[in-house]
Amino acid sequence: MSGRNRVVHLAGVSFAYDRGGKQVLADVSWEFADAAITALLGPNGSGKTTLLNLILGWLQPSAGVVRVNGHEPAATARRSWSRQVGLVPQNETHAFELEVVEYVLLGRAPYLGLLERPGAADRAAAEAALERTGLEAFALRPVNGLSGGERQLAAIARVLAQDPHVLLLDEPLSHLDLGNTRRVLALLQALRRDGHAVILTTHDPNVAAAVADEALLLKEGRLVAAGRAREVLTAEHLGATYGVELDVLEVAGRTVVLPRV
Amino acid sequence: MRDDDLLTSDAQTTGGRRALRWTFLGLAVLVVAAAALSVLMGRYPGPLLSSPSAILDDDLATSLVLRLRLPRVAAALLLGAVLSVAGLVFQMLFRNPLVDSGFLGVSQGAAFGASLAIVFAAGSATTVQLGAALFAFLGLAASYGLAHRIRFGGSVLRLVLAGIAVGSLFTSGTGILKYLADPQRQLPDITFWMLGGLWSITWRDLLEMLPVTVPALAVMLLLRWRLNLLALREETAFSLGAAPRRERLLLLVAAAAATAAVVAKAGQVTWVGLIIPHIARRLVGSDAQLALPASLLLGGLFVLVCDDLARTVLTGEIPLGILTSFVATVVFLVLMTSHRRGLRG
Repeated sequence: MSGRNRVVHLAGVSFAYDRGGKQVLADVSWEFADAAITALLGPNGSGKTTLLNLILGWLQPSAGVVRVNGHEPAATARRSWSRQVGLVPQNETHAFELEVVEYVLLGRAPYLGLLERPGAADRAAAEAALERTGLEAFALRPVNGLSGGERQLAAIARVLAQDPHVLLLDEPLSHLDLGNTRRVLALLQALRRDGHAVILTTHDPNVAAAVADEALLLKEGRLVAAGRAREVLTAEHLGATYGVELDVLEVAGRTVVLPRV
Repeated sequence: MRDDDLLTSDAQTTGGRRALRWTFLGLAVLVVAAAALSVLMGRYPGPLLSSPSAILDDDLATSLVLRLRLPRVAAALLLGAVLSVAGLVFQMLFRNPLVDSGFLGVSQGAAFGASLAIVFAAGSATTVQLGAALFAFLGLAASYGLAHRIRFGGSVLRLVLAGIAVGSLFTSGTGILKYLADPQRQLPDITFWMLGGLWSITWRDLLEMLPVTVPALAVMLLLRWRLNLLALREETAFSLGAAPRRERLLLLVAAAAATAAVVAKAGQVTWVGLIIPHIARRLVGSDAQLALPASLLLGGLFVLVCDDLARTVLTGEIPLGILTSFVATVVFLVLMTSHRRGLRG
């Protein structure tokens, strides 16, 4: 935990959906780094998405404290919180055939009052976000008509228009082909350069090894390991997390994780 | 390739905006023209359409137009506008294009309340309206309260399930009331109310609808961009700074209150709230900033035309609810079978 500024603080955080029920997260403490990509890894049901929702403030911990820049979500006005923390959920869809540009404009909601509607400055922000994600040509297409990869890029464009300091991305690379994976990863790296704290969940240790500065391994709601990605993503830790045997290799200066089959 | 795409997309934007402006202008002109024609239309003094001078020269015709036809035309516009706007709001809040006020126990509550008033409270116009409005609201409140007690599913699923259950309870209650009703006097009243119509609308009825419908419509119009936001998954709307539960409740109450106010006077006028928002989205796109005002205009136009048919086609009055559901179902079937985008539009 050295060297970096810390922006999101979790102290002894536990969570259960029902009082007295099964703990989805148990006593998780970590300080997420600023200007860095942090990967959350773990098997299905290990509490990764719950952890994102706790940082978002959508869920409240049953024990422990969540703070972003020293503030607790429940004690902060909703709109100012949403300028700090943004979410790209998994497989986002819209129930109606909203155009991509209208969908991206929803990212401007934190800057608009209840009765306000987006104006020229908001449109400019949305167009800049479309350009950054390479979706300009899709601006007038219905968002539900896009391919899975394009829809993921549109969701990222929406959060770019929102411009929060902390970005939470739930499985941003699932169902993406190699080209779109590369584009999304390049965007995340650019966000890190701009000073954002990027926190993503992933099922693929290779993605974490490729882009993450730090990594957290979760198993059944508990931290197995946390720290610099290189030190966390070892055969020993990953094996303990997923319960499978695997090899972690160095290939051309990069870390590659291969399960044994 | 990309440059070409960009060019067409720019052309589409300006061309699209101009087309939209014409669509709205066209709709507004149609509404005004239909309203003017409707005032001249009827079985007196002429057989179908009378000239303004023929009406002004005839004292009876003048008084008939002023006292009966004008409030009826205005009520038809209001009824259609409210049902369509509320329908669009329900659809977006429930993230489901197949939802209308029948999904929250509102319509069924109104029918139960009206039947209750007819069977047990002498069935004067006032008690029927009060009963319908009161129970329409009770339907919403019961659905909402029950939704909080359902222990699984997201808040939308819980509301829909609770709404279906509450609606079904009210429908069986209405069935019991029909069974208890005096078949000579009360049962026909219940049946007639459920068919819906505007034949008895007076200026007073119209004025009584305004204190509820005008603020409710204003809330829905002012918050229409939020509807795009609230149609997202709840945690996404939350992440964008919305208070999804509070904002949804505010819009639900506005939609249900406006619906209760008009249904209490006009009876069950079905299918308008379901089909008009679809057509509006076809015309101007799904963005509620445009789809909601388009629904308002189209809904008013649709119910006005249906009501004109209801009062002129036969010597007797055709119940409005029959016409709206017949015409809307035909339009619905045509839309479903003719367009590649099907129901999602």
